[in-house]
Amino acid sequence: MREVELVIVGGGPAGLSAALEASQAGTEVVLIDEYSTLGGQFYKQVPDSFRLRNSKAEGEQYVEGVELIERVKNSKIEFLPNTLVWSVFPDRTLGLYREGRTEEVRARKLILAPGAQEVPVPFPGWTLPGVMMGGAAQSLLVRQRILPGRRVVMAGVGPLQLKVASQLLEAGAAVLEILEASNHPPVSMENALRSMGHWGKMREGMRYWMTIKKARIPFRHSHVPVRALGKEQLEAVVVAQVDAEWRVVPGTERTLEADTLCLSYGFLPSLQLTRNFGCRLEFKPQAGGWVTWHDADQQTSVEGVYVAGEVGGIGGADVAIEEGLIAALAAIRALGKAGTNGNAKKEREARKRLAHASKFAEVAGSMMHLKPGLLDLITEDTIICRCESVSAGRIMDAIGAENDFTLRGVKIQTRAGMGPCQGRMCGFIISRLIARKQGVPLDSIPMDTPRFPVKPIPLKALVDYAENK
Amino acid sequence: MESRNQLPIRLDSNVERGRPVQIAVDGEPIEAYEGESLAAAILASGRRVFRHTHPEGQPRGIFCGMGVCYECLVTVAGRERVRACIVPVEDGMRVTTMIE
Repeated sequence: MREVELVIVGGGPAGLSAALEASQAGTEVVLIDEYSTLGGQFYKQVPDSFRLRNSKAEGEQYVEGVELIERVKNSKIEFLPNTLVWSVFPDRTLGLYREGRTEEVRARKLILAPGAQEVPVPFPGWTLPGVMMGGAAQSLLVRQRILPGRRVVMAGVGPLQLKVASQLLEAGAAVLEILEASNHPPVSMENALRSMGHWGKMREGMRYWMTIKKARIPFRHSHVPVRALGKEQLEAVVVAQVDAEWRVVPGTERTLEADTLCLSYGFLPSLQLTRNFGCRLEFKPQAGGWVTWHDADQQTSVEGVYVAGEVGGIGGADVAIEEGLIAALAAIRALGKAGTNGNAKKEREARKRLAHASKFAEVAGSMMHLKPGLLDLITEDTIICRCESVSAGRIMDAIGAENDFTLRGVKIQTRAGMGPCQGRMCGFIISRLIARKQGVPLDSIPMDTPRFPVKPIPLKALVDYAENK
Repeated sequence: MESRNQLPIRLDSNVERGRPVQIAVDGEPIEAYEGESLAAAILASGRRVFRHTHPEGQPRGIFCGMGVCYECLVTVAGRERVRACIVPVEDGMRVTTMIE
């Protein structure tokens, strides 16, 4: 089996930063990503076979991605594209699936930087084609250069939806309304004061806000989509005003004819890899709920396994970049390659920047806090497990039956969480439904037992793997 | 057959796409570009429904757009359950939607 000094999973801001730092120090680095291009969901790069006439026109974030990826290409880092980590084994060994085959690689040190997914928020009709996550709309626009819809309603919480809305506008979509669930405007004096010193973020936010104001797009705080209507695809969105707890105010429902509804309710850490390794989790409500615990050197409870970025708590790209750097420095030190004297200073500066970036992440996190009224949108017929088409009614019946209040219990009774997404969508919701029905806090509901394969791979690949073992 | 519409369109500002390739979606020839995701090519052909659930027959399409939710599963000749949002098109690919 191949053994590599440092394996990094995830080619987003955290993984790129870690890979570049480690490689620069003379470490052998293998960088793995499920996509064909590096950059992840933050830098969202166009496919390699596309050419941008002027990449500067894509904005600072895009250009930063281009530059980092260029540095990777000019380094000794070995990039494995289109590669899925489908299982983890003892001794930091990863099962990879690429080009139709399985193989293994053992990492002397491992940095996991798998990033995050968006928060799923169910309501009647949310499975209709045309209802999509804000990130899906962004990927179609920025990566694929496809306009995802013509008449768009944007909904969610926090500043990110301003960005998605202005990107849609600039690409030529009609953004009908922006619905912000919370009762505070995105550009408030309070948030401005708390964001002092984060000038880049403030400038960026103001730019989106101005784009939206200039186009006269109605921005409605204390509003949510309550139902999506349509036969084969989205035709209209019913929206309503909500109170401070996000409970619908009776009599405020309106119907907007739209072909696209984008949802942006925040992020959840991607925990499948760290959970399969048996890394300890901790509960951080402002950072996405369950997150991977790590020490100041980014090492998890499993020796030699480090994390960087969202997997250790939602913090954004600036946090991810510094954590990647710190994890890389810790990993190369553990490999006995600490080398240059400059590292201590480099690490001190990275920690300073991390502390600064974390402060902004706290402000952002507090703006993203989801209120309980959101769960009231769910009706008995609302699909919760999208893979297995399991309704909320069936799940509510299963919760507490035979005195079982676990995700596993619900899964065994209803199949919710048994489909190909393996509970990535419904687990978040079901744990909230359990907490509500049982009247206990969310942190008392553990996640479901992690299973392999981490994501489905063809049975043939597994059989070949077993036979060659 | 579902109603076709002109919803998603390819944007041309600031980009030169890869080499044109041809794929077939439910037997119909569709123009696509090298490097493009299967989802982008299917959407650009005016289709938003990627599959129907079994046995309820509910339509599903792009949802997370990042390989997590498995809603955009299509069949590519010889390969079942392919995530259209992640897999790039290849010249001559034969894609089937609608079948669970």
